[in-house]
Amino acid sequence: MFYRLILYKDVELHPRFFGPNMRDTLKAKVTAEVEGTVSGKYGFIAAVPDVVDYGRGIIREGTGFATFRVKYLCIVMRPVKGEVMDCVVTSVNKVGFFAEAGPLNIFVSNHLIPEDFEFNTTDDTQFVTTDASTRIRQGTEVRVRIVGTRTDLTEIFCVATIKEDFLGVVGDPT
Amino acid sequence: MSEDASDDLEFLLSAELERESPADVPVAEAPTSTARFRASSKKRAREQESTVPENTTKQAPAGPSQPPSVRPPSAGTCPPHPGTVQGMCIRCGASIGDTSAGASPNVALRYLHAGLELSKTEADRLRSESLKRVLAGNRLILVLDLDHTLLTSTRNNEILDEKLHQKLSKMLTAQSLLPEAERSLFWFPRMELWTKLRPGVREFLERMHLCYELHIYTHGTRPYALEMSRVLDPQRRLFAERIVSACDSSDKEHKNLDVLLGVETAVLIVDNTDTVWPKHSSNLLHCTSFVFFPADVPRLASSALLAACDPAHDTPDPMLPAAADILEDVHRMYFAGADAVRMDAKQCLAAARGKILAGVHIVFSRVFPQLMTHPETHSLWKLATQLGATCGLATDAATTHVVANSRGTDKVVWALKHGKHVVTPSWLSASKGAWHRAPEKGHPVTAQVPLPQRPSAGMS
Repeated sequence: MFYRLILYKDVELHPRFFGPNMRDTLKAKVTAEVEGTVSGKYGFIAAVPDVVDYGRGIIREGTGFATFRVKYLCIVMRPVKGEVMDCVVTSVNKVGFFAEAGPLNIFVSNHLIPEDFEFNTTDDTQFVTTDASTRIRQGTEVRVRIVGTRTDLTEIFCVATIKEDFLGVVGDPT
Repeated sequence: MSEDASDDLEFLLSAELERESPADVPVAEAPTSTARFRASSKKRAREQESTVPENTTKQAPAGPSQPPSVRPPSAGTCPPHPGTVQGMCIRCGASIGDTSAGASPNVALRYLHAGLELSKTEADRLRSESLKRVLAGNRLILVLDLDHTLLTSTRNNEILDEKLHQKLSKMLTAQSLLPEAERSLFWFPRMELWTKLRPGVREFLERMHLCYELHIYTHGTRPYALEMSRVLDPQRRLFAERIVSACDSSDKEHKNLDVLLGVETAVLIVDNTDTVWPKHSSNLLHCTSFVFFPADVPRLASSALLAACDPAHDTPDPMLPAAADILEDVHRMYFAGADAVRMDAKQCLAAARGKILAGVHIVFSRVFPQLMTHPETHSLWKLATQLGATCGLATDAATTHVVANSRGTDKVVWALKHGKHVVTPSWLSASKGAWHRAPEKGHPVTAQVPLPQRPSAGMS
């Protein structure tokens, strides 16, 4: 799920950037340092579209660096248990399949895949229904419901299910 | 979407966000919102519910009205957590501590995904399921080693001879004109590695793909294994994700089938070293080592070697076609029986091994002492019997071969007079290594050891 948040970041700026383009530099620095990171509390910071307030820079004693407490707007992605989302399958194996939804890695174990899907390796590693109408293989789009999430420093990992109504294959790669 | 529905969702979300460590929200909760949505997505209903007729709740294995399912429904409840991925149970999503007192997940399937572990019961369940699946597809499982079995690699800095280096470069450029599928020599600049494929490997893999599910199990690093599989199998059709490398193995020194989740009565292994498979030596088709680069020659001197590096041409190597024949034979034997589940691939392999020297009757000369009480316990006698030959103590009309260590004994003289084959014991091990009857001419007995002065008949 995506949220808009207002967050703060302390940015140190070298004096050579003090000038007419100082604010652009600050914005670029904040964007570079924050976009793509995972914060335990808020989730995956997907984008920094705007800076609300640059604050007043305070020059540190001893060095010439100035510290700005930048107040910026960001869009975070945080998976919530119970949430339904679409994802793309990256690999299939006998224990289940792995998928990703943007920066999120999702694992759907075979316990949480409906019984009529069976694992098949003859042609391409995939889960196929008994009547061969639906297949899950690399590149398939699947709608899943998140069952559990685990956040660590660099990534968010989720366990999900497709064993419910309205979940399952949404699009085929071919 | 009705107003009520969106309020519910918002409430649910805010409640979730405020929780520090979310408690287990059972999956079958909030049926009311689902009921409302059902009306609006008829298309989804048609797709998903065609096999499940009437649903009022979201329970997973549904009631008796459901048609018989292909997979038996796994036990729905979670205190026996079947496995964890990155600390979360794969079925209920609950957070499991690393030192769990509960189900003791212990099979680490790192080659599938880092952090994926399965409990023992789950691993066993998956093993029996994969057995059923593989047998239903009329295939067995084949585990292949990479180095010196299917190909051989060497680092650039191990090629010290400049002329050899030039020869290899010339060969590489000559082959770059060929399509990718026909090349046999590869150079990987990032790893500074030369790799040569064993002659006939692509045909071998294609033949084996028809009757076996192929796996790679190597002691090399994971990037190396992935690179080699890309060379052998560019379309990811033969091996897919079934690649186990050194870091995925449970034991650094040895290889074990537990990580592969295959029942060992349906697994065969092809590897050039037998010491790395201590627990599964009867599943192993021990093949000759493939050597191409001179640096490997001293290291592999002990095992049966091929003609070493000759960059000029691909010397024809009979090993892989012979192995393919054996494996197809075992496959035929396995599925010829009425009850495929009860068959054991090890026995089929032993039977195939027993055909190598079928029809051969051996008498040993100067191999073990005459007075030995149980000659059948001698390793060479046992080896010969394993290969399908019969052994005897004295020469007679049925004898076809005399295995001797030196010329001049009575038996050897008798054999030469009657036109029987006279070979050294190395003929037996060569036949075992090549999986077919080695040409007797390659193992002549040349040693001339004078017989000690004895009044009566010589040693047996």
